[in-house]
This record gives sequence, structure tokens and C-alpha cells, in this order.
Amino acid sequence: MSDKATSRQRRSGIASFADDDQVPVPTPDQIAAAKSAGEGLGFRSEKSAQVDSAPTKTRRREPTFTDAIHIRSRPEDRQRFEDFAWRHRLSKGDAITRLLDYAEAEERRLGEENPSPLA
Amino acid sequence: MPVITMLSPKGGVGKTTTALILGTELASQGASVVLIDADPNFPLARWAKMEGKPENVEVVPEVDEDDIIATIDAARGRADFVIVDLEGRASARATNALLMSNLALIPIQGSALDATEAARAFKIARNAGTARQRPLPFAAVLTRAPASKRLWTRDLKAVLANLEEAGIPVIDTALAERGAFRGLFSMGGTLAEMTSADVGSLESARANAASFRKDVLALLEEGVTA
Repeated sequence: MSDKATSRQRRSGIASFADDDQVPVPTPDQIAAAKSAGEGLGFRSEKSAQVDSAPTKTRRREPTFTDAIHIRSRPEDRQRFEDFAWRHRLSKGDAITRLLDYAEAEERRLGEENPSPLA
Repeated sequence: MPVITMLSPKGGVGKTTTALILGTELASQGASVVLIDADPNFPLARWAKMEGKPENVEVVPEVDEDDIIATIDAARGRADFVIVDLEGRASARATNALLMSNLALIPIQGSALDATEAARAFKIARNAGTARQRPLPFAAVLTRAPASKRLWTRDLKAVLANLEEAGIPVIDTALAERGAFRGLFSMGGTLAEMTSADVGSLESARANAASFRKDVLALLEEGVTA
């Protein structure tokens, strides 16, 4: 789809650049340096962008919290529970696990301090 | 032969219009010109398909960022001038074209948005000069400016002042907002073939384009680097 230039006649009004040293074809290192500097300014390769935009396989997360507890609670306890989960950056399901771990550890500690006469 | 690249990461600033005005002006003086259309929308290729394209103007579409170096290299071997019209976005195609250029022209209109994007263009031109270990002369071109300087907006004057303060050369002749320039794309051909029945203020447009061509040639000879 090109239309070839045919006329090479010269006119005096046009400066001659015959003596102008031609810009050398850049070396691979120069191209890489220019590309690297250009990317810092947002002049990115569309080819690498195409590769980057290829759909990536995402690993499907296995569901962890497959059961549910419906508890009626005091409003202040619900608030304490939500604050606890927020403080520890936990999901509600993980917060339940953490509270049970604490509770059972406390049970064991108390059990060691005051051994049951039936044990 | 000299390679002149139109550069701006922003669209609509007048790169293609500037490229076509400069290319057809050089051709009207007898020079052979290759216009490399590196805009995926191929506006120059569309212009070439219309009637009136001078025989000494060749339009070569090229959008591959790697091949553009070889395309420019081949074009400068067969023409007096090579003009590369890049698309209005930042891309590696622009970076590679600059590595082969003798002069980069950065069209800019009188707005804050244009100035911001032009600043990026100046940086990439400097980077290209550093990467190839040979400075790349570049200059700003005011486009779509009111024909009379008295009508220039304060924003436009502020842009000019900032360019001057930064030591960035500006082509003396601003390309005015003219129907004749738009007519190149709607009617094809060159300003020389248009008639006053086609567009208004044709003589002013011709004088504007000729003056612009002379300024660009002068800058090429000087090889001014900011």
C-alpha cells in the first residue's frame, strides 16, 4: 500500500543535506537503553503489552467456611466480636477459630493450675 | 536524508496535519518525500488514496515497533526527506522512530493538557539522544493557533513563556487554524491545487505553510538541541 516517489529533481530553494551525516541505525544496546528509558515515561511496547494482557490462569480458591453458625447475641458482644476480627485483620470465620483457640488454651491452663479431682 | 518525526503522546494536537503540510510543501519545491504513516488509523494512507497526491510523495504505512527502524532506514535511502507521523499515544514505536531521526517536532496547542503531554515528548526526545549517544534536536510547533497573534489566548502565551523558560526551541511560524489545512484531508491533494472556491483564506494558508517549511529547514541545518 505504498505510492512510490518518482521525482528526484532538485530545486535551489531546498537545502541540500548531502553532507549531513546520516543517523546510524541504532545498535541493539541503544534500542534496549532507549526502550528502558522510554518505559519510565510511559512509552511502552505494545508487543509486551499484548503478552501481558494474555489471560492468566487463576487458581480457584477452595471454600473454607462451608458451615454456618446463627447466634443471637447481645449487641455489645456482637460489637466486641466485630472489633476483635477487625483488630486482628481476620475474616469472621477465622475470628471464630482464633477465639476458640484462645478459649481452649485458657481451659488447658486452668486445668493445669487446678487439676480436677476426677481426672 | 533527513528524518523528521512528529511526536506527541497526546492525540489531536496536529501531528498528522503538520506532517502533511510539511511533506507536501517540501514536495512542491521538488524534493522527494516519504511519509511514514505510523498511526494505526492510517490517516496519511487515506489521504494518499484520494486524488491529487504528488508523484514525488510516497506514503508508507508502518505500525510495527520493531520494523519501523528498517522502514525508516530504507525510506531515507530513496527520498530527500522522510517524515514520520506517529500516533497520539506513548509507545515503543515512538522511541524507536526517534532513534533514527534528525529532528523531532512536537506539535502543541495552547492548553495545559497539551503542555503536560509535550513535556513528556521533550523528555523522550532527550532520552533517545542519550541512548543513541547523539543528541536529537527537537522543537515545539504551535498548531491550530489563531491566525492573528492578537487573538492568542493567555494559556497559549503562558505555554510559550514556559517553553522559552525551559530553553526549548519553538518553530517561529505557528500553524494557524485554517480550513485549507483541514481541506487537505477532506479533498486530498495539496494546497497548491486548491482553489479559493474550495476554501477561504487560501493564500494566507499557503504563505503560512511555506513559512513553516522554511523554518523547519533552517532548524534542520542548525541542528539546534535543547
